[in-house]
Amino acid sequence: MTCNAHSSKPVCSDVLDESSVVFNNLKSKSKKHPMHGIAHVSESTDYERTPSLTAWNTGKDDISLISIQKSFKEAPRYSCYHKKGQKKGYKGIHSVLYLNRSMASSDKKPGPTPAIGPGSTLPGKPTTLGSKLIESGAMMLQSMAPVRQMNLHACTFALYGHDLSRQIETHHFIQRINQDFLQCAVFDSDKPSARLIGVEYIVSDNIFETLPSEEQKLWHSHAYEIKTGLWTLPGMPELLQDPEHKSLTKTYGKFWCTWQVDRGDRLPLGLPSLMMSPQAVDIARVNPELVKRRDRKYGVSRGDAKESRVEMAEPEWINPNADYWKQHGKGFAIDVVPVEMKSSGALI
Amino acid sequence: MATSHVDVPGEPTETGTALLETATGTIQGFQPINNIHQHLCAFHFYAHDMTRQVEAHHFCGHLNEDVRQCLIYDSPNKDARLIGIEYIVVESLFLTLPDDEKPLWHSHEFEVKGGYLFMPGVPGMVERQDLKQVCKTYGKVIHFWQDDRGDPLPLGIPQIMMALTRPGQLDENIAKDVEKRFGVSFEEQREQRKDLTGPDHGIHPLANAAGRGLKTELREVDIPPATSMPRVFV
Repeated sequence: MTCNAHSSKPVCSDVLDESSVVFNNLKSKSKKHPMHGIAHVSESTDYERTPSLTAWNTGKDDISLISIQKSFKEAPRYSCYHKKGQKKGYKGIHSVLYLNRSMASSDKKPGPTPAIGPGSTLPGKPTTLGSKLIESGAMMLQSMAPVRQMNLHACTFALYGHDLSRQIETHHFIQRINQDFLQCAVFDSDKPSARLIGVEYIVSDNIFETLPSEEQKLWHSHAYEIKTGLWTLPGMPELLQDPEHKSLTKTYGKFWCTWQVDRGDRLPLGLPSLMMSPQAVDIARVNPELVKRRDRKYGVSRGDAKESRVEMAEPEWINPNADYWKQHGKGFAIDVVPVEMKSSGALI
Repeated sequence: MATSHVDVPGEPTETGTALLETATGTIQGFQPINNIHQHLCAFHFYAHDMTRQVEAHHFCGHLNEDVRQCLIYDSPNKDARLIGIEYIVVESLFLTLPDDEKPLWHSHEFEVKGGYLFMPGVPGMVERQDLKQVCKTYGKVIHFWQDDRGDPLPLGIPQIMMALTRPGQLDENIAKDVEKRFGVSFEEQREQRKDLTGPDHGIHPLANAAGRGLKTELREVDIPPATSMPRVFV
């Protein structure tokens, strides 16, 4: 028996077992020469057991198998289709077509995987001397200009926009672009081993008012966290922090978190989470233990911060579109969906 | 082109603010940033739209031998916009990712061997030492600022990005422009990188969005009801 791409009913040869089908003399649309091999089918995520798995290009729901290759070292793109209900060995094939199953999200906990573990310890080997040498070489020859522009370090707290009870201490390394806009690289600590967990952008109220309301919903206000001293500039005397805080009190931020370290993710999994800021509402107050621990670390006295900032002008008005959950009881999550790739006709 | 971009709206930085931030720049510690030691230039396209291609300047640091993290800017200049993040992991760690996660990652083999990924300013021989490793890795790129469509601010939701995987994908004009500005020749690099090899098990079929397009979408969720004390995962 042979599997023929041009036939609407691919017929496959021996079924080795429930999970393997042997194909011979398959002709693909894009390649003229016949291919043959074995497709191992697996529901599991244990990819390593199926080293000779073929590469598929999933077209539509009714997936057509046109060709297969011996080993996926070549990774070509072929359409494959699955005739449901056919007796001979097709039964398992649809399970290989992972894109028809669930896709990652920002608010769904990933399935069991070695990439999640207690303490979210980073997997992998220590940096080798070789790599360090290459880095030193690069450092001497390359300019690193953009990264050198960050000249402000702030430590504060953020809440997951889809679950405000999950709270993290964040370290923002900030670059000011102009009086109304700042861009921040956000880490989970201020040590050399810090993980890059996201990016935050900060805009003044003037800029914020120019944004469409659909966009404003993704932003949070900063007044509360600054006035209460949750936001602090480590290493800077409180008095020196004042001028910066005066201008930041009226700002809004948009913070995407790309690595959910607090959930145990040892690697950055899922889609970015929209983060929110602490607010003077019960569910959005930061756990005092978290704050105490941070304050101890940096020698921040709660009294100092709050007192000097009490004099600071409150924003006369905080746009109700910001901190969207406050008025609407809803947060946001990000999903990803498979779509047809838009291309100029070049090979995909 | 990445040589110029739409200005970010706003007033110029006031002197007082600038002075203060110069002070913080010298007094505070910046260890996580100081861990960034490498500049890599490559091209990304939107995972749902290959016609939108972006020159991406990666500033990378090693978390360890097997995991790197990068800040992505739209240029290597002082006024560069921070537009995204990339994480890079070795093959053995990529294989531990759940199957619904793998499509979000892309392979680096083609863009390294094709000469399109390079380290500006670093001589080829040194560059190739590192590219030998990078060739076998997988990356996950997320962009937050679509300045290729002229956005003056980071609007909208995050975008998953993909990397070059076959000849003919990269726009000729973008390629030529980068080659000129950085004094590199992709073709020459291709010749010199012939001996580099990709992942030991080949490119995983689920990587590179398993050949499909991927689009991010925003969804509203109900906030869980108030608890008396917020939970803390420590």
